[in-house]
Amino acid sequence: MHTLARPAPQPAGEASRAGVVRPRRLESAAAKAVLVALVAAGIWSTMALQINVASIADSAGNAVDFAGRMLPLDFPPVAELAGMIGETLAIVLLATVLSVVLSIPVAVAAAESTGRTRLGRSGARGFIVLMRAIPDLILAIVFFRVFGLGALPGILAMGLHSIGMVGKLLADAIEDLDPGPRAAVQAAGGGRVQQVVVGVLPQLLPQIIATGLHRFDINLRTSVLLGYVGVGGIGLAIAESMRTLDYRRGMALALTVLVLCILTELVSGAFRRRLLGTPRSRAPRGRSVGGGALVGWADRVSGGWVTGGRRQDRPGGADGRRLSQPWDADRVRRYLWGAVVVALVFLAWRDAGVSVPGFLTGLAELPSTALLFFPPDLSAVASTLWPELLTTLQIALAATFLGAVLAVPIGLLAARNVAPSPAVHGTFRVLIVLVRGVPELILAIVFVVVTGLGAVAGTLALAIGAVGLLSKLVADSLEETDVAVQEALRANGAGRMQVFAAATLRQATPALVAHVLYLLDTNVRAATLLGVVGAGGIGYYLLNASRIVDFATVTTIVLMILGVVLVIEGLAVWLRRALR
Amino acid sequence: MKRMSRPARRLTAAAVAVVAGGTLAACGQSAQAAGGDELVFAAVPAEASSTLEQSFEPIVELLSQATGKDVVFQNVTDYASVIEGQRAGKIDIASYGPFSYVIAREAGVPVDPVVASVDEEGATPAYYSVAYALPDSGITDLADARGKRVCFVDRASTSGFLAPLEGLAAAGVTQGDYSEVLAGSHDASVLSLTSGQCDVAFTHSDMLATLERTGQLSSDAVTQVWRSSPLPEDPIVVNRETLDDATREAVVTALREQANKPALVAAGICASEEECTLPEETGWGYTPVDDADYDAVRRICDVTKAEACS
Repeated sequence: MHTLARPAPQPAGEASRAGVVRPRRLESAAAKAVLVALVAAGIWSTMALQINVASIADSAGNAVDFAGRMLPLDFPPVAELAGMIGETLAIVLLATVLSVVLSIPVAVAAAESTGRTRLGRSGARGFIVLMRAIPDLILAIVFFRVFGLGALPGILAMGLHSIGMVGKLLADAIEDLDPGPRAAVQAAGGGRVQQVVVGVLPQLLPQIIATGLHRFDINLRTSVLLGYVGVGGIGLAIAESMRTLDYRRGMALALTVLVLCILTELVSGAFRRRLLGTPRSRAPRGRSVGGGALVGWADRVSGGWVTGGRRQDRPGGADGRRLSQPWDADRVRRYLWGAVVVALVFLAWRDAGVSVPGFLTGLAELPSTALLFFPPDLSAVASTLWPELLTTLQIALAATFLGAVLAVPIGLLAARNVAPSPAVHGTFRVLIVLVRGVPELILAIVFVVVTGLGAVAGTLALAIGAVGLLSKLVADSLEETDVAVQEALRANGAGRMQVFAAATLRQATPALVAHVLYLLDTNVRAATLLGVVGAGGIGYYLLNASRIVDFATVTTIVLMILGVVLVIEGLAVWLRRALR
Repeated sequence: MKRMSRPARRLTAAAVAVVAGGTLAACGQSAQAAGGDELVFAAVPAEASSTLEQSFEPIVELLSQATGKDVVFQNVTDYASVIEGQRAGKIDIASYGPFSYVIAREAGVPVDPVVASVDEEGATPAYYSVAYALPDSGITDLADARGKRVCFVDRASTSGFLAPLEGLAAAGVTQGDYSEVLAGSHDASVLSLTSGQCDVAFTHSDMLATLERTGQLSSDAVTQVWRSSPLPEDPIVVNRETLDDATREAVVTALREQANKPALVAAGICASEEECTLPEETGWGYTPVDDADYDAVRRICDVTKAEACS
């Protein structure tokens, strides 16, 4: 994850379109009240779930005991391990490529600037939200029934679910693009498709690649979870080891995934530099960071994020007088890397052994399978599902609260313009990169073993995971603030704290709120899935319903989660507007 | 320190409020301190279960009356976490698969089986593992599985993997004589047979009825070619170390003598036998079992030397 566009960038034109003057003060007050309510809900959930020092202290002995049963790690033979890794990478690569390919047209239809009609835009946005709401785990279970066993269900499940993120980010990115090129094509008489292909896609390419690489990383983690429902590769092996209480093998494989995740970050950093043709000698802002090898490594892993600032990824622009780009070394290199990606996809396709006929027969069966899911069965809603949904919400709220309490200070200290010294922000950036490497499911499993079953384990796992996600976003948005404002205050003799509060934080608040709500939204969906490993909430029923072939109830639960996620999305959009 | 600016003051106030709230939440009683005033009862759905909700309410109520303590019920999908919870002393009573019990016991977790469910009074608690093939495939017994694609559920499934391994071994077919397909779930195992992804499919004896009831398969689409010897039903076990003697005694007595429909009606927990729903659609109730009843599972382990057993 590098140049993650903010999870919810402010749509350009929003401000200028607001010809209507809203009663700003009232709205702003309401927004603050909602924020306070959210914090209160977080604290209440934390208390309701009994997540406290006593619970954690209770488990210290178990942690030691677990470590004892986990060591020595037991790695499978090299050939076997390589086979698993190959399978996992093939599935993840194909899923990610699929999601990007499908997301581009959806994003074009959903974006304010390129969508043709209001109805079409809403439809595309709705599709994106729907894809986000249906957990890939459930999609995988469904596709297993439709397409049978093998790699295909996993690829399709991750690919479709990823549209929820990739499509959203690309749509937001399209809205943020410079409208000039498109207007020029339009003025020259280009049709809508030409406008998009010439005026939008080239500008969007860096975003597409960055988002794709980011999603690859997320899907790699997800593949571990999908192993629990039978998607092949390393996740399946982990699930099997954990089911048979073979922690030595299980944790050895988990460590392998961790290394894979970090390597992925390394490779994707290199890829982005090559493909996007960014100059390799960036002069880092600020002084050099102490700490030597580890910092250098973490820097490479995060594509220069530790020592550099956020880079503006722009393809090397052609000079103004030529209409065609020259075939210079950079461009040749970019095309070569593009060819490498295509070759990798082809290899992955072969390795995953996806059968086209199987896919086609599956497609033919899709309608009859879909009928199993309708109409939704509402019989268990009142008695069982509401209370469980509440538990899931509590887990998400508590995890977001704890995650924010942990992550915001870390993010502050990792931001170059807030941290007291380069050594401090360097240290915290390395910490964030390390935490990001650990898949949440692995955390959850460890916490289940250590703190026992139930909500505590799930919440703690998500809270730790939040540090990796939220800290980075917080640091990035603080660094994006307009430094002129800070300078102005400083020139007037403001102290460090005053500058931070009145300039940096004031500017970054809408983004911070958006990030925390994004985290809440992520956590609601993650909390659902952690039911897989016995972490409480509605996830248990989701899995149990699919296990006993009660798909009508699966639909009900997915709809309930969809409702919650939509409410959070709406709240996020409104809060961002109100706090601007 | 200089007097703070207004935004800084507000910011500090907000930070203080959040920290105070966090501190408030940080103090409090530990979650799940087993053996206290509440009993923790965790249950994993049985392999052959076909209901969304496990109706443990009458049993929970019964235990609560017998011990005078609150019984906290917890649904779990993953029995590995139940075993870990028992090991950590956080679960007092649990219901899980026969195989989970044996694993837990072998791993040194201090649990004893108390009862298992039966549909009629006096019956022996058992279910079966079965193998299906397509009617026209020419496969009539497990010996025919040699060289074929065989669908299992997952490596930790009693009726979907371990009992089948024993059955195959008895027919002279060992691992390596066939290509193993792990379907991931019981229904997927049978459906993979009809979709042509394997030639023999193992599952538990009630799956076909479930698939037929939900209209996904007609029962004559497949032929049963093997049935295992009876597998002991899921036990309810108690943790020897988290409960004091008096409480444990009360739990064991209640489960053995009153955890059945007639007794539950007599105790006023159920209004009538018709309205009394027990977990896993149990017809009558629970009957006493002891450790020796699970030797069948241990025998499977000895024969198959499956990884799951170690």
